[in-house]
Amino acid sequence: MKFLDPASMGAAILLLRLSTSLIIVTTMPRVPASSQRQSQKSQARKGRPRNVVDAAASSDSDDDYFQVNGTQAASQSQTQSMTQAEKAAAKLTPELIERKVGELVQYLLIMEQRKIPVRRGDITKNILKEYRTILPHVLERAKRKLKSAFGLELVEILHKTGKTTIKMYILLNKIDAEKQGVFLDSSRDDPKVGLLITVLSIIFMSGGAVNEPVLWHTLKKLGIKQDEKNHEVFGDVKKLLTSEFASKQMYLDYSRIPNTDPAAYQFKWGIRAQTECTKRKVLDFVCQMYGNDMDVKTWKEQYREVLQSESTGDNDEDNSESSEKDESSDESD
Amino acid sequence: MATTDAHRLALQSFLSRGVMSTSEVKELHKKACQTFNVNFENTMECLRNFLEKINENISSVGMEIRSKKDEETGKLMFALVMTNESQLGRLSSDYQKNDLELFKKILDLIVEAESGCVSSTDVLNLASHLKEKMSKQDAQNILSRLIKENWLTESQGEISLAPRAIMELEHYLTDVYEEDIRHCHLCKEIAIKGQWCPCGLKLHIFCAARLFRGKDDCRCPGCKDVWEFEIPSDDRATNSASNKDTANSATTGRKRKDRL
Repeated sequence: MKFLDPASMGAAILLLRLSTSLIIVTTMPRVPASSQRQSQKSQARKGRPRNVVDAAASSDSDDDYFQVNGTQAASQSQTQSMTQAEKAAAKLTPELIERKVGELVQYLLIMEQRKIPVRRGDITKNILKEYRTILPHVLERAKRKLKSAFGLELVEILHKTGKTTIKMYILLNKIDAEKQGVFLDSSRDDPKVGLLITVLSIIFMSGGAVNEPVLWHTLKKLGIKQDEKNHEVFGDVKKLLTSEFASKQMYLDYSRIPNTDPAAYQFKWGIRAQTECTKRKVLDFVCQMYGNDMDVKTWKEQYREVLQSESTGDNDEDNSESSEKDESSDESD
Repeated sequence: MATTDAHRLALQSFLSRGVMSTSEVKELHKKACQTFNVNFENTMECLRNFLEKINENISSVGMEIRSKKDEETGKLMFALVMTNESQLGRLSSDYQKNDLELFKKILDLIVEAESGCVSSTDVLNLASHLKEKMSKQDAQNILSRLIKENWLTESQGEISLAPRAIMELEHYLTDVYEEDIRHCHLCKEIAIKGQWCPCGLKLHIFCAARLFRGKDDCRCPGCKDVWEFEIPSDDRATNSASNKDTANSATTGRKRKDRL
């Protein structure tokens, strides 16, 4: 790939903090194991497995409900004739719903710190459990709260694996990227982000997909080798790209090229990159690397793609203004 | 005061940093307000209103920005904590199960120790007492991480609970350890580290300084026995209630010699 000047790209990886939009709220080192949140009140557990956030405290609200509605006996016979869903809905008090919203917000924030997208199924399994009927409601409230209090936008992503499509959620920072500056402690992740943006650039400049050997060949010029397992900054580089950036965090899409034997793979932009990173930012980055105040329009094909993506509203930039108007009226949640 | 991007960004900063000192929080407040053109005054009251607004927004989701004095330095620290009393709060989601087992055992040691400090050697020796044994090296790594992430502090080989942990785990500690958790006789707040009398009364170092300020004959407020600990000088700037501080009062450090 001739468009990249190795020397300046090398400097970029080490120094450049361009991708503020990619660093939302990241500090904690990424723990590979799944999150194991302990249940709320150890006393009220009643033999449920101690797994993630438990609705253990719901037992309190059950009692409240029954007391409000007459004798225990009468309520019991009533519930016996209701369906499961009705029973679940009947136990819902505003307090319980509010608590679930809180748990969901916390869960989303924590997963976002590790850049792991949250599956809709995980929300049901870990947070809502038997209250899954209220998922849309809880999700909507969580979304509003995240925006009004945190300035984070909950984005739904459709992830296609083979024949199935699953819904996943990530959080985007809606606060002006330039203004984030020094507030967020992302020093720990800078080099990785630099590498990521480099790879995204290579993919973009190659027309949206790059074959694996070509990518490695380019990276090699920047001093990064495919079989490097102990790079002082990146560790196992191949694993970083194919496993962490690709499968886990979904910044990259590492997939097999169909009908190739032996199997050949290619890299494309992953869902998260498509949602978080704009093509314009990447093209700006590339031009900065070339230096000499290179203009983005030099790259005709790529620039055309940038304009196209902006006009069709691929990015959230167009939506941000209208959504800001909602925030001021939405204080109570 | 309506919620602005300044509040939101400050909150994000708390999310990513976990805990901050008073001066860091003041700096954050100033920068956030100036960046987003929010009305700003360099006073504790303005800061307090700012933080209260954030707390108002997040209380319904079980989070809160709390403050507590560092038990060693007396400096006021601010942390974003989870209020819903889930076992170990934030730690539960950031650490693996076995790491948490180690941490719980460290807590056992710290609470048991009257001084609230344990030696790092004792901590590392815990590695072999876990249900799933871990190597000393692993224990060392976890310990380093706990210190780096501000859950524990280390000073000259002595490990103790950092302000962030005390703020996050206050409920857990009182739940699990009950009467073994002492509270300071003067300020009534939880006191892990501090000075104590054989009769059981405990005081924070800075509370002791305040209580015994200017006294030649220092006696335990409970049993009237002579107070055995050395009384540190009462550093006004760190001891006064946080709200009365103005932005410009610097902590002057302990220039005066100890009185006793």
